[in-house]
Amino acid sequence: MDEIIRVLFEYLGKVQGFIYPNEIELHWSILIVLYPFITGLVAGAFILASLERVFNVKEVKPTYRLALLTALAFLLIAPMPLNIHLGHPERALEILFTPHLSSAMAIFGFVYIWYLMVVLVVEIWLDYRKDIVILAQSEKGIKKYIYQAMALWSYNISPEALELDDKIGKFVTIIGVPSAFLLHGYVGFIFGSIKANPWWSSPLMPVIFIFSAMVSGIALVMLIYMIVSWLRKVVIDMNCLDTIGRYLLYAFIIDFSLETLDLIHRFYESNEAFGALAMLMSGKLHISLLIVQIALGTLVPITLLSIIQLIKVKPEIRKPMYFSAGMLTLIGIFAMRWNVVIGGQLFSKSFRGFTTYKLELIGKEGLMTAAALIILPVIILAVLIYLFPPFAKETGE
Amino acid sequence: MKYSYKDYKHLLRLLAIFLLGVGVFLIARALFTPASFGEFGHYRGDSLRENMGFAAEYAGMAACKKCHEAVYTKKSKSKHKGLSCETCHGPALRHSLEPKKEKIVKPGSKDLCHLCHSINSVRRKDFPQVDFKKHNPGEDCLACHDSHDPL
Amino acid sequence: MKYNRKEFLKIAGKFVLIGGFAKILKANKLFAAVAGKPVNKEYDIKSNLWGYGIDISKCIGCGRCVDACKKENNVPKEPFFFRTWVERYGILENGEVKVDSPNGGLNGFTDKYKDEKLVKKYFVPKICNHCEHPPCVQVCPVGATYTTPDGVTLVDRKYCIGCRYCIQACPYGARYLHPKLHVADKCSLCYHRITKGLLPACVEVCPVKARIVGNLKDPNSEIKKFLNANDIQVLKPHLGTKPKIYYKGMDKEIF
Repeated sequence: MDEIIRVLFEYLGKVQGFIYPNEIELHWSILIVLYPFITGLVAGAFILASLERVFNVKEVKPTYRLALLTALAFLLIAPMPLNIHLGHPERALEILFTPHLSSAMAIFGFVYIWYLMVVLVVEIWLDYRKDIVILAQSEKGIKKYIYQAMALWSYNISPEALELDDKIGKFVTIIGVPSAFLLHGYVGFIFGSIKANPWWSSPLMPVIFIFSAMVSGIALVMLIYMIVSWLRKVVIDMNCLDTIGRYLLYAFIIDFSLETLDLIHRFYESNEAFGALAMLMSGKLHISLLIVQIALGTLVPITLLSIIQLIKVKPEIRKPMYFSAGMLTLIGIFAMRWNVVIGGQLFSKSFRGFTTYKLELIGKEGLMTAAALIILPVIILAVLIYLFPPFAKETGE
Repeated sequence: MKYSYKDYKHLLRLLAIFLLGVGVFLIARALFTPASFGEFGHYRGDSLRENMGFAAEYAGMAACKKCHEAVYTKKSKSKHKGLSCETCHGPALRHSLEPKKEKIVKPGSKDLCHLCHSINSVRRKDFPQVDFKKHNPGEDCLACHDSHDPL
Repeated sequence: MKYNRKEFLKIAGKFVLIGGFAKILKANKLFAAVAGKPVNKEYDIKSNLWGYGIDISKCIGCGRCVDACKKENNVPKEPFFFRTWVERYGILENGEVKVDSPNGGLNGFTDKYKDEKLVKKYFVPKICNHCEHPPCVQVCPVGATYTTPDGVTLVDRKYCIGCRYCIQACPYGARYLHPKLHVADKCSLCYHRITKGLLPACVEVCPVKARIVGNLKDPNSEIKKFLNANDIQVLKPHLGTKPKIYYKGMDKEIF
């Protein structure tokens, strides 16, 4: 308790203008910034995977399995920042036992379990079943038993069985696309439906969240594909990379158009809160919104990706261009989540003043926790890649 | 039928695991949902009773009157008739229940009078206000004014 | 032996005390509810609907309500946690609006604007608006905050998971996270008092009757008369939350 009181007294001295006295504490910290960021990566990675399976974009096949494993690794961690942030984490299951159906947040548990179990796990399992069965028969020791359990002790990989797997897998992917939209669209709705907060309240919010999710997920898989190829010392499939880059550009253009539309709408309507929001944009969010999110995180990557489309660039130069575009995209989307979550809490609902937020280094909701939560899925991904090599198919061909 | 049982045996096993999961969830939900949940609405009915049962601190003027009738009568004829005893004396429920053990606050004038009666440009003009810096500074208000019958 | 006798006297004394109180209890129902059982069984939840009136033109900004509320409801004393607070407004000749609420008004207000020429000025007490359509209840994922059948929005301290979504959804800044209990907390209209015939602590101590409370279902209640006799406004009516905290004398600068 004393720690939070100490922080609040520090905030008290930094309050600008008038805010309601209960508003000094900023309630949703960096952990709640991470949550939409991570689920966005999941949804986006899955959409990239479905490009191959559902929309028949064969060029991105080398990243199909990698994208699915990436989605799984990040989805496993997605609820962690939420749980850590709860005042009573031990009561978290109430959200499943007595979900209040008028609350967007209450649906989280069900959307999450649906997406994790029915979509991702089933799709990955069906896709990998042949490999798992082969490994269950060839591996030794404890690994053998793990693969046997994963195969559910059923080792039939006859052409008929695999054909059936493929059909059902395709069906699951088709369900998966709207599910991915639902997963991230509802996260946008959590914010967009809060009429008390004019920075959040917008029907565009879920749509913006879906497209920014696609942007971040595609960028992440692109980067992972490049890094993994480099680590494995194999040649990057430039055709695949170019296709991913193209889809990243498309998603980005839609995303940026929607966000610009949202901004223009706010300026044009200039409602009661506009004065406070304009001050927010030009003041407290100046760096994170205008410079990091819009300039560095959006305009630069869009320019880089467009250049590749417009003029012929050599593969040796395209690679670093894609890499830097991908990195900047991730930074930009993270800044976007930050500006939504933290930005939406900096101004008073009296529209007469601002509180402040200082990211602590250590502590439950500090930078270290946040960094750990970002590194953890990468470690899980490494383990998943070790257990289920996503490259088996290409090397076999 | 193109496929035989052995071709989808693994799928049935997976389905069984899912159904098992749903079953475990339903049992857990039945076990962990509080008994009074849904009594009045989507919340624990017991919570409503808990909220009713929170301990009070303020007794209300009726309780004070029971023992302090004389002061009460004096005050109710005075300019301070609108004030509750506990406005100045603080919470008194414990005192009213155990008058010997729990003593109430006898407030000093320095703490209280100025809260209402100091000059404040935002305060409405028709409310009696005193410039405490000029009006017998340093004196105890109670030396001249009886708070139960001021002026 | 001596000790035993002492013990006996103590118990006997308590017995007499309880006996004495039992008589008072019978005579005074209000008192019965407080000193006796924690829940007043005679309270009829269905025939009540609580409403609350604030007369801005009466408030003198003494802050006794804020003080009493904190003492009655064990609200943390630090200046970040308020179930009720008082705001001060001063409007200058050039139209500039000055608003503040130092420590929620708990220590009263210093004469900060004595050198300014104020064309309008007022103190505005604020509490939870106990909305008819409470956004906080709508967003609570587990049913830990709810509106009672008699129209009071409450928090279930044993069920709240501390996600703080309700705090985000409240347009009035009426909620805070209790730093010790780690659950959302807010004005309960002193539900433990009003259901026993007592006044909320803030209403009890207000020296100028700027705060009144009553049953909206009773045509003769004080609150009903207040609503009928005055021009009434609520906070942020455009949000459609339908507050049951009614203000008299509200200026356009107040929200």
